[in-house]
Amino acid sequence: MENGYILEMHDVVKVFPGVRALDGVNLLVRPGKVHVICGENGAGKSTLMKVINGTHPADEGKMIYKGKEIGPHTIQDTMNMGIAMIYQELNPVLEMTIAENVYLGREPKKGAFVDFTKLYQDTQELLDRLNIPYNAHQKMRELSIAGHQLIEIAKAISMNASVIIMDEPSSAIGDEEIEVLFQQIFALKEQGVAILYITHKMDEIFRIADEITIIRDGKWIESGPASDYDANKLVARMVGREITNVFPKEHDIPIGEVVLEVKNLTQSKEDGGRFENISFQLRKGEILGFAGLVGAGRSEVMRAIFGLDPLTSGEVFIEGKKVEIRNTSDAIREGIAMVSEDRKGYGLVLGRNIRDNISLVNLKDFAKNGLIDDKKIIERSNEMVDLLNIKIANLDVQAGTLSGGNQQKVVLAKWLIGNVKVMILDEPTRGIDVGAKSEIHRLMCRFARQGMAVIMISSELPEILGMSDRVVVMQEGVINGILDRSEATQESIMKLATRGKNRE
Amino acid sequence: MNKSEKKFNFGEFYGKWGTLMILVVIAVLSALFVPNFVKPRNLINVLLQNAVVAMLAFSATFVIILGHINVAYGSELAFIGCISCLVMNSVQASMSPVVAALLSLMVAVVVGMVIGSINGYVITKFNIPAFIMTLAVTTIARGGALLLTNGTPVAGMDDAFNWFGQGYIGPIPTSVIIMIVLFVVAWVLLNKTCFGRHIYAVGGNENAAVASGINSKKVVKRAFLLDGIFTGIAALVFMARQASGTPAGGLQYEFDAITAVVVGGTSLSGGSGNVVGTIIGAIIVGIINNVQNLLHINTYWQQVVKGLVILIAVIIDVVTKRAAAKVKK
Repeated sequence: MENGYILEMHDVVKVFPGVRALDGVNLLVRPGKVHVICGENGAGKSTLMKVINGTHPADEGKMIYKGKEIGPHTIQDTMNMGIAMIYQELNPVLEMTIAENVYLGREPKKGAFVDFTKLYQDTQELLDRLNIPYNAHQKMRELSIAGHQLIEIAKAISMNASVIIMDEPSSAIGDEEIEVLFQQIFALKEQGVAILYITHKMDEIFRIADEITIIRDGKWIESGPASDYDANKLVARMVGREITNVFPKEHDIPIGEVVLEVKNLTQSKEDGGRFENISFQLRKGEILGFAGLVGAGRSEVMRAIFGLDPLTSGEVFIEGKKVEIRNTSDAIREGIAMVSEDRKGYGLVLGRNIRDNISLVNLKDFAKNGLIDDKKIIERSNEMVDLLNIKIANLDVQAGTLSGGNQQKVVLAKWLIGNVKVMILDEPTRGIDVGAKSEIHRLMCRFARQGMAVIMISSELPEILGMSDRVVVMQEGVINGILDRSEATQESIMKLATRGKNRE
Repeated sequence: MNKSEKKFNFGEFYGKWGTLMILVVIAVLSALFVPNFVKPRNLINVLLQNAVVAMLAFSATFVIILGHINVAYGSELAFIGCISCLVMNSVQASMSPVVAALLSLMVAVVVGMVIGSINGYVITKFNIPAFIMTLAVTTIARGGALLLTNGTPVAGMDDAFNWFGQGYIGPIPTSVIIMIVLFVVAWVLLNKTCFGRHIYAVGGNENAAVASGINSKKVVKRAFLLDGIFTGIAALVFMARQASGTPAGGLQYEFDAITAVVVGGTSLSGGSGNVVGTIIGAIIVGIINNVQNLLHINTYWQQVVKGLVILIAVIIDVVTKRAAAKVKK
């Protein structure tokens, strides 16, 4: 620790099948400082944190903690050493009290029994010391998500943590609760605790960061004191890569009249509360990109337009006519199709064969007097297999056995045998290899050329820039801006996506 | 990928032919070692004794593919059956017995539909596990049957009524004919209609089905409605066969029906299965019962054997599925 660092990571490499998630990352953390890790979606921030806390063992590289090199370690080891992690998604036991949650799995004992007196005493002392205004006997269920986070912090302190990792702690809580969280962070700094903090919000970064480390595509880019940066510089460093390997949209596709228009779509708290005042137009032949950070509410807007989730207020117009969409079959009747980001969860019935999956949406069209004409299904399915170049042995193969790219094409085929006016694609190329990816991009251009209007949600900026005619940028459930192709750059999109609600 | 597809996969092979193989093995063993088994009279008996179970098992197949279950068949048989007997007794004097018998059949079907709709409605509306709902119905329907009859069997129905359970059309028992008709109906519904395809989709992946525009709750409700209709018909046949409306009858029929479905290769976790397997499963269960009777095996032991049969069938389903999944990887 002579060099002043409590935790050092040197040249860390982590390989997952098919990707180098971390490729030579360095990180130097000082006690009593807030160190913010910046990077785009998928840059490797969370992976790095999980390597530190022992969820994923590193493939290469060195970890030095309090001056000692740490070999392969487990979560249990790091917890004992004083490294605590507060996850993006908390999993408290809601029916148990605060005290029981804080000491879960390490309850004080008296003989064979839990020493409840000590359990509640210790917890209450801890809460008081941290100025957390709760009673140790309260059930977790009574607390807000911010409350759960505070308890999680208390738990970390109770383990004498000297490094606390926080993975997007502010993504699920409101502005006032963020203040409470920040007060705790400032107090922890005073006590010499090092905080590793992941966030996408610019305003937060500049409020709490002492030091910043930027990673991009799994590679370490640079580290430095926060005072060296401003929002422009930070964004430029986060996205500064060359765009390669993306099939660009063909620009001679004619753009026609408005097909879909939504006005002031809002989902209130009772219905999920994931977005408000969403308005945009979509034209024939157009590909409208939806950019934003993970959790910005893009998928939720589309799920509501498609009738999967409730819409509290707002209007939807198809070809100028107002429509009511209460469920998915209403949406399909109006010519809306949606390819979900969760291919296995919402796209396919994995245990059924290809033709059953392809015919699922438009089954009625294959029925004569109530009886299904399997010959017709096979005929149409074969057409689709040829058209989309789906690589399968035959139509009786189970959907679950196909590769990601072929599964995605089966999902597309399912919609294309019907009459689609608006095709919503949510992360259409996620988890798909490069070859199949550009095939899907080519198909999207073909849909547009045939007069379909296409919405594409993507968390990959190169894909957004390559394919979109216009780009809608969302953050925290609102549209921060709509950019024309000519204005859209990695920088302009990232700036809008991380602007923060309070900024103009 | 193509290579692994050509490799022999026991899980896949068993899924397709396993039930039939078991039937053949059991039938051959029984023919060789059990006296009187192959006599035509006995074989007809196997079908006759299992016609009611098979009818229940057909609609249970729909419910189980959806990932639901009905454990109330036994009491539903008693409740619906007693009502149709009471109806028969009160109208047979005032009209031609054949018309009266058809009227009681209609009543059985309607009462079955009502019970099925209530099952489907409560399960989908309140998101209650089907097991709990039908467990409640088990007691409610049994109590209802005992109330209606004051706990004593209803007797005195005209032969026109009893024909459904005891009569013959040519050389074949009426109940077996009814079973075959219901089998054909179930097969067509499950394999050739949108309803049937939707059953597989909802049972296989409800989210994907809903995202494809399918109203999954409606599918579940319709399946329970169908279940009620089949149960109603089975109830009439059941009472007609013994020429008596027994409010305490039908015990353990749910067990035999579910066993037939599972032995027939339909997975209790939903998404896969078919009625062809179910009819074979029903015959297998029938033969096992029949052989034990022929060999004069103690009825207490017979119960133990029954339990073991369903247990083994479920274990085979889980294990072969796991094996199939492994080969895919």
